Order: sequence, then structure tokens, then C-alpha cells
Amino acid sequence: MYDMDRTKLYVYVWGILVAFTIIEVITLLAPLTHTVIIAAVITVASVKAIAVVSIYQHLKDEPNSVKMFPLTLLILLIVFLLLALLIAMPNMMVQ
Amino acid sequence: MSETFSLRRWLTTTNHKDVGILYLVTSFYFMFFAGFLAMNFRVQLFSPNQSLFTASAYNQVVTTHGLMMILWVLSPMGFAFANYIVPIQIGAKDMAFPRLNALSYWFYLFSGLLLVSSFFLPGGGADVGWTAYAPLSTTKYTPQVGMTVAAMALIMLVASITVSTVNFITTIARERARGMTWSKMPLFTWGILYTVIMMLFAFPPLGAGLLILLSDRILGTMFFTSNAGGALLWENFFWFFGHPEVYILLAPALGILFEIIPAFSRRPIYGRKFILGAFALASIISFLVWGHHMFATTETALVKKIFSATSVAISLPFEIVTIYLIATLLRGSIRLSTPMLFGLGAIYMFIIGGITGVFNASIALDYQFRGSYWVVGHFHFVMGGTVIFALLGALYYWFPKMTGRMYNEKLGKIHFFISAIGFTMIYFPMFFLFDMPRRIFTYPATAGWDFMNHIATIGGFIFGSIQLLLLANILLSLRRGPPAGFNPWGGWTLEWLIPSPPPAQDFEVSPKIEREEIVFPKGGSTEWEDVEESYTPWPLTITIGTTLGLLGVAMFLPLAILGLAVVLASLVGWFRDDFRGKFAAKAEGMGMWPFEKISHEKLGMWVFITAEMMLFSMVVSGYIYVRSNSAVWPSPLLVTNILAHLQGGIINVPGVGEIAIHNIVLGTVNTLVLVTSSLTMALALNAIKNGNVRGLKIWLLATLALGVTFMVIKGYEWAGLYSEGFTITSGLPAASYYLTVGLHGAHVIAGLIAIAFLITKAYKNGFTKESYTGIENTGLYWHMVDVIWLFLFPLFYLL
Amino acid sequence: MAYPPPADQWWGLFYYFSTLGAIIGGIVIAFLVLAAIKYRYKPGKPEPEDAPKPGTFPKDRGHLKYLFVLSFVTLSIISTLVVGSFSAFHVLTTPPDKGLDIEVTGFQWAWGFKYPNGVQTVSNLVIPVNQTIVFHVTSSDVKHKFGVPYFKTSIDAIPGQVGEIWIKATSTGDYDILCYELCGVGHAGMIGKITAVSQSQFNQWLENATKQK
Ligand code: HEM
Ligand SMILES: [Cu+2]
Ligand SMILES: [Cu+2]
Repeated sequence: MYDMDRTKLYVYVWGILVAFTIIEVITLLAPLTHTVIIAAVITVASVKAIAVVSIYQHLKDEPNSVKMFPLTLLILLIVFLLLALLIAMPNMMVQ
Repeated sequence: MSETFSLRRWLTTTNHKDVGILYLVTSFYFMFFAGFLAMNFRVQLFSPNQSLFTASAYNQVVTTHGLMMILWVLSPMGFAFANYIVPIQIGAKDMAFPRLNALSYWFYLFSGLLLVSSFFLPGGGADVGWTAYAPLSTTKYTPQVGMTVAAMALIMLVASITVSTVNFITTIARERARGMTWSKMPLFTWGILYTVIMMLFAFPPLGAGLLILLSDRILGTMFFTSNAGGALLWENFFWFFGHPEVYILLAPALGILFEIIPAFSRRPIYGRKFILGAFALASIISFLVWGHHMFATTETALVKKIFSATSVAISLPFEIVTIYLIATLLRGSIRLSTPMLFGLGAIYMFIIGGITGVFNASIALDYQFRGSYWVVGHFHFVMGGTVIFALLGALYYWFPKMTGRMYNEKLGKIHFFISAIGFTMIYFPMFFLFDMPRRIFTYPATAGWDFMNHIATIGGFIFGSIQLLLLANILLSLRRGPPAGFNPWGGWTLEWLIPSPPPAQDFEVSPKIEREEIVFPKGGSTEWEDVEESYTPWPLTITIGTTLGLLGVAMFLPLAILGLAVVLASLVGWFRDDFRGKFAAKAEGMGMWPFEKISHEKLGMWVFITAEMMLFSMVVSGYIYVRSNSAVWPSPLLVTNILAHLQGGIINVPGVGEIAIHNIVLGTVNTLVLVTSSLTMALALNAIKNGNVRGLKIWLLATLALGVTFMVIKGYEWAGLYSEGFTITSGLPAASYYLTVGLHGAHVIAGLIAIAFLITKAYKNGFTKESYTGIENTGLYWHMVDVIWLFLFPLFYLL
Repeated sequence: MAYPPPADQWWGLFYYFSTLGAIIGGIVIAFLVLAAIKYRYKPGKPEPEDAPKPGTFPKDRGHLKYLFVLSFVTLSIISTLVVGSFSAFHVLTTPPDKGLDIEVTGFQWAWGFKYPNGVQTVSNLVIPVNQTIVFHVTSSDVKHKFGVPYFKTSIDAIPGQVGEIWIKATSTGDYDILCYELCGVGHAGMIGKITAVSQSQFNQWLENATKQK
């Protein structure tokens, strides 16, 4: 049934959000360089954000014309954020 | 209620034409106010060593003049015409959200009054220039409360503009008459569409900059006084807004020229598609040139060169627009009536302003120009000349439509010629004053700037006084002007097909477009709505509450609580109107491609979400900026044994010293809480879509509970941080944390208020399987708040 | 009159821009005015065939060909402007030789100067003629802009940042220093003076000043 499918999908997404949140925290413990950790954490956060936007805000069900605009903007902003963090990186950590 | 002089009508109207008139009258009032200030300082500058003003008074006058003209005159006057004309041009009955439209207006009026009042506060008003450069604009150097009030007036204006943006984009996207495709949309409407799209991206950055400035001024943070943020942080914020802003002023003016020039030369515009393309290109590039206001800073040579090249390049699309406007004249049968004269005058000003703009865009020449009267000359030719002349043209052009009467042509022509001469006399001499610094209240006799200043002041008086003729013409014609008829100019757009002035509902029957013709279907149902239903006091009372609130925060806290109460009470009134179905009739428009499958409110909400995304992106950029310029910044990544410190606290890092990191456990828990509330919100929508009201109530209550939990945990966390000395004034790490996370918290609270309204409505059985827009849109907002947190969490807790 | 460096660069570029601007602006304004006069309505003149008709969408017109021609011409003109600017910019920002370093600090409301040997002055700066002077400009409070209009160069004075410009006086005399960024009530009075003297007079002056320190 339509309703159940929906509910299931929403709960799956929730599961992913929870799992990815835990993954973000665990990433901190991994023996990786700061650059990699920053890139990884922001990427995971972005996946979560895109999941919320497309499923909970049901952007994926909207007509293309409506969908394109916020999604493009979101992805652009994420790219800027990553770039900004990675460029600013050398200054951000004192080692 | 529709009598011309009913006070109740004007205070409670939501009709787009009334709102347009209100905008027009108000912006005219502000124009005369700011113009009067300008005439005063032209007297001061007439010759060296004058003493009409003290330096401090002069700075206040100049600042208020600039802010007022740019933000409270030029743009709103364009929007006066937009409000009046755009819905008619596209065949809509009104704006998509009439009440929000009234709200925009009242926010605009009261923000302007706040600005004016800041002038009379003890210590005086803002005296830091319209650009409000930090650190001069911080409390350390500008302690007077007038500066704080001026910044609040600006924030209020940003809110007004954001609301209009949402309204206009939704209206233009969804309310066009059947068959009015993008390619058939009139050019003035196109101009306004470009304007609002640029506004959508430009104003949130200004809002973010002002929030940070106010946080420095009121909460005692140090974003703009520390070297890690400082002058350059403000300049980047300001000009990222400021440059697009100047095109935001220009775009309605060009839209007006695109209507006037073809109408009076009796020929279709030349190269419509190319003009629209060039305009789009210029709008995009306008976000990539802000650095040209910073050529004299310490940015690297490469950055300056890139901005110089983009700035020179932007002259290409404008040149195309100019040449094509002139090409439209060719082989026409040109009527040199007043609107046309002003249109041609605007093009003449634009040529001069554009060419001198290219001078500024040269990094080498700008080493001298920056901060001199040359720049003043440049931007007055584009803003004062092009934009004001186009707006005056629009006033003459649409005056017959708005009032049903013709103005006096002879007076109009005199007005034009003397204005054009006076204006050129003021600003052309400034191109010879590129050694004279701007914003100085007097100059030494030895400088040799007297002659040019004499001419400018004389020109100023010619230009200023002839505006009285305009006033006389308007007042006279309102009484005695001959009747105008439907279409005095032979225009083709929809506004010329209906009576002057148009009836309250604009059209008896919604028009539609069949092939190349606009037709009014015969015998279609003539459903006049009950006009009485379109009046409401809430936009005004919300505005009054907000104004009191802002004044309260700036000066006297109890006032703020009163203001908040007024706002909340008005919101209750607003939602009760909703519940009664008032305004429901306006809810659905045509839904034109490509927006036929999305409702009004949803599209509006998405536009609003875009603005919010920009706001938070800018605040986060500010955070990254100060962080990357700070020598030490606390981060869990610096801590070697993070497992031992998941609870946060003050930690001693070898080689760095003591740093404070946030409680990762609490942050994670809160993230999970918010994520879960998103799930329950989605389930609530799902329940009502299936007609399950009980499910709706349960899930809404769950969402509310989770949201409250989030805030409680946050409060607990903040209390802990404060007790450890991690206070908002304890440095940039704390300041940026509290500001960003606090702004997010404010959004959570707003969301919770909305959800509380939804719950009330759900308990009154206000939602059904068919009608659940409120749930859907609050859901969209709530998820957005969640998405923002998904980024704030790693940025502040993990990295 | 010969301009001292780097003003010579600036004026050269300015004349180039001005000539071009005046010619192009003149042509376009003339085009505008003449078109408006030539095609103006006279009694009895028929409406153009494609004149706007109420309620009818006007025909689109215009040729891609002209757009290309126009863009090509414009781009070739403005590319000379960019090239000219960049090369002048290079000169403005690159001192020709090591020169004499002066640290400049803007404050509300005057300019402070510091010579390499530690001698400090306020508002008045003495420099040797025919020698490159490199200014390292900063501010101790708000933003200012250090400008030496005779030399057509200037730079922001920003707290926490150091900007650099250079000049080379070719004749002795006094030159103004002005502030080009609103910095508070004293902005208009933030006027300083550069006095260019001969190399020997300068040495003498510096010696005296050092002794007094
Ligand atoms: C060909 C197009 C244009 C170019 C290349 C251009 C370029 C520039 C540049 C480089 C500056 C910075 C000058 C300086 O501060 O040293 C500037 C300032 C300014 N321009 Fe333009 N401009 C153009 C058109 C416009 C238009 C259409 C407007 C407004 C309608 C405008 C309004 C302004 C304003 C307000 C400033 C001064 C801001 C301030 O410092 O207070 N410009 N322009
Ligand atoms: Cu600009
Ligand atoms: Cu100054």
C-alpha cells in the first residue's frame, strides 16, 4: 500500500541518518590526516542533507523544474563549503 | 471601504494596487527627505571652509542620504510600479500572497521611519557612510545607539525585501494568465523577475553581515574589531551584497525603459531575446565582481586582476542592452512625450555612467579613484541618473493608468529638460575632482576644488527645485487633468486594455492568450470577490510589534517584550483568519509551466528556503573566515585521545595550550533528536495525506516534543558552557558558536510556534485529506532547520 | 609637465581611457540624439508597419549577426583596456628598486611615519628626491586610505594588514597626503605633507632627527 511504502521509506531514511551520524563521530577516531577527516565528515553530512531534502522534503517527487533549483543550489553550497574548508585548512589547525 | 480617503482602507488594504500606491507615496516622501539632506550638504560644499555643518552632523547627513536613497527610495519606487503593474501585466488577480505583500510594505515604511528616527536619538544617527565599514561602525568607534537603530532598520528592510522576493517570484512563476509563456511575458515584468532573483541571493548576505554587526554592538562579540575578522570580513559581506544591489536598483529601471522606448517609438523592441540574455548574463556576473570595491585593500594581485577582468567584462552585456534600446528607435515614429524624454535621458545617463564604470574597473586607475569624487560621479550617473530618470519616466507613463487623468505635458517637458541639465551640472564636474576625497565635510582653499564644487551646488539647486514642478504637476493633474481613457500611449500590454484607474479586481474575466492575442473570454463567470474580505489589520500590527521589539532590544528591554506580545497576538489573529477561510479565495492561480504541479505556498516556501540557505551559508562563511585567520582554534582534531574527551571541556593540548571543545555526546544526541523529529514530521504529513487525523495529531505532538527536547538539551549545554567561562564575549570561537547555533535555535523556536499552531488547528479538525498545505509547508521549513543543523553539528562539534 | 613615477603610468592610462571613452560615448550619445530627432513623429507620418497594437504581442526582431559583430568589436576594445590596466597595475605595485622603506600607520586622525632607523614623525614626512620610497601602510584603529594624489597612488590602511605602494619624487617640494576612506569626524582634516628635499638635505635632516630621538 502507498501509505506503508511511504512509512517504510521514511523509517529507512531515518535509519540511514542515525547510522551516518554515528559514522561521522567515529571518523574522528580514525587514524587519518585532518584533510581526509574534514572531507569525509562533510561528505557524510552532505549525503544526510541530500537524503532529507529529497525524501522528507519530497523534492524527488516534485517536477524537474522545481527540483533542479534547490538541489543545484544545495550542491553548489556544499562544494563551496568543502573548498573553503580545504583551502582554509592549513590555517585552521596548529600542529 | 474603497473611498479614496478612508484611513481604514489604507491601513488594512492588501490590494496590490493600493500597496503600489502606498509604496509610491512613501518612496516619494523619502526621496524628498533624502534630497533635502543632499541640498544641505551641497551648500556646505559650495566653497572651502564652510561651517553649516560640523563634521559629525555632516557624516550623519551623508550617511542617511546614501542609505535612504539607495535602499528606501530607488528600490521601493521600482517596486511601487511592480506592485501596481506586474500583476496586471501578467493577467493575475492580485499578488500570490496579498497579506504578505501588505506586510512587506509596512516593514518597509517602519524601517524607514526607524532610520529617520535614529537621526534624532541622543548622540545622533549613523555617521559611518552607507557602506558602514567596520571597525568604524562598531561600538568602540561609534558608540551612539543611533547606529544600532540604523542597523536594525536595515535588518527590518532585509526582512521586508525577503518577503517581497518570495511573493514576486511566486506570483510571476504561477499567476500568469493562461497562455502567457515566458517568451510572451512583458519586459517590465522580466525586469522585476531578474530583480527579485538577484535580491533572493544578495539580501541574505547583508542580513548575515548585519546580524554579526549587531552581535558585536549589542552582545559584545569581536568579529569586526579583531584582526581575524575585522575590516575585510565586513567588506566581503557588504560588497557581496552591495554590488548585486546596484544592479537590483538598475533592473527595474531597465525594465521600464524596455516598455517606454518601444511604446513611444512605435516599434517592437529590437532583439528582445538578446536583451533578455544579456540581462541574465549581467545578473549572474554581478555576483562575481564584488571585489572591485576592494581594489585598494590588501587582497592579492591575482584576486584583484580576476575581479578587474570580470568587472570590465560586465560592460559588454550592458552595452548590448544600451545599443539595442537605441536601435529600437530606428525607423520608428517617435513621440517625444515626457515619459519618452525621461527614457531617452536615462539612456544618456547610462552611457556616461557605464563608461566611467569601466574606468573604475581598471585596477590601476582605481588606485586613485577609490574613495574620491570620481566614484561619486560614476554612481550618481547610474543610480541617480539612469534609475531616477527611468522611474520618473515610469511615473509619467503610468500616471494616467493609475489616476485616470493625464498630466500636463508642457510642465512635464520643462521638468525633464531642466532636470537633465541640473543633474549633469551636479555630477559631471565630479569627474574632474578625482583628487578630492569623498565624504569630507569641508576642504582647504588651497586644494583648487572650488570651481567644480560651485557648479555642482548650483546644479543641485536647479535639479532640486525643479522637482517641485513635478509635485505641482501631479497635484494639479489629479484634480484637473483631462480623462486619460484606457490607452493613451497605444501600449500593447494588459494594463492598457482595462479602465483607468483599474477596478479593484483588475479584470472582470481572467484574460488568456490565444496565439498572439490577449483575449477576455466572453461570458466567463464574473466572480467578483467580496472586497471587504481583503482588508486585514494584522500586517500592520505585526510591523508595529516588530518595530517596538527592535527599539526595545536597542534601548529598553521591556519594550521588546511588549513588541513580542503584539507580534504573537497578531499572528494568532492572522491564523484565525486563515482558519475562517478568509483569503482562501485567492489561494490558487493558474499555475503556468513549469510550475503547474506545485502549489503557491509550496513554491513560496522553497523560495524562502533558498533565502535561508543563503543566510546560513554566509554566517558559516563568516565563521570559516575568522577561524582560518585565527592562530589557535579549539578543535577535537587537535586532541590526541578524543575518546577520553567525548564530553568536551577545557583540555590542555601540548604545543597549543588550553582549548575548550564541545560536548560531542550531547551534540550527537541532539542531532539524533532533531533527525527523529524530521521523521515524525514526515509521518504527520503522510498521515493526513491518508486522511488519518489521529495519526496527524500524534506525530505533530511527537515533533513538538522532540523539538522542545532539542532546545532543552541546548539550554543545558549552554548553561554548562557558561559556567566554564566559555561565554559569548570570551573570544571568536565562542562568539561564532553562540551566534550560529543561536540563530539556528531561533529558527527551531519559530518552527515550534508554527507546529503549535498546526496542532491547535488539527484539534479543531482544520486539516483534511484534501487540505493540508499548512502541514506540508511547515514540514518543509522544519526539515530545512534539520538540514542546517546537519552541517552545524560537524562544523562546530567535530572539526 | 612631466609626472613623477608612478603617476606617469596612471596618467598615460587615464588619457587612453578618456580618449576612448570620449570617442565611444560621443558616438553613442550622438547616435541616440540623432535617431530620436530623425525618426520623430511629424504630422502625417504613418505608423510603422509593426507598431505595437493593444493586446497583440509584438514581433521579435534582431539578428544574431549584429550581436556577434558588436560583441567582437567591444571585446577587442575592452581587452586592450584590461591589458593596459594590468601592466600599469604591475608598475604601481612593484617598486623599481629596493628604495627607502617607510612604515605608515593611520590613526584617528593623522598619519604616523617610521623611518628604517626608528625615527618617527607625525603628519609630516621628509623624503629624498629621486629615490624610490616604499610605504608599508597599516592602521591602528579603523580603516583609512593613504593617498598621495600627486603621485596617483594610494592604498587602504587596514588594522592588522600591511599594504604597499611606492613613489619617487622627481622634484623637490611639498606634496599632499590625504585620507580617502571615511574614518570618523576627523576624516576631512587627516591631511599630511610630504616634503621632498635633496639627498644631502635629507641626510642632514635624518641625522638631526636621529639625534633628537
Ligand atoms: C558598466 C557597468 C559598471 C561597471 C563596470 C561598474 C564598476 C564600478 C566599480 C569598479 C566601482 C568601484 C569604484 C570604487 O569604489 O573605487 C563602482 C562603484 C559603484 N557603482 Fe558601478 N559599475 C557599473 C555600473 C553601475 C550601475 C549600473 C550602478 C547602479 C545602478 C552602479 C553603482 C555603483 C555604486 C553605488 C558604486 C559605489 C559604491 C560606493 O563605494 O559607495 N554601477 N562601479
Ligand atoms: Cu560594484
Ligand atoms: Cu579618513
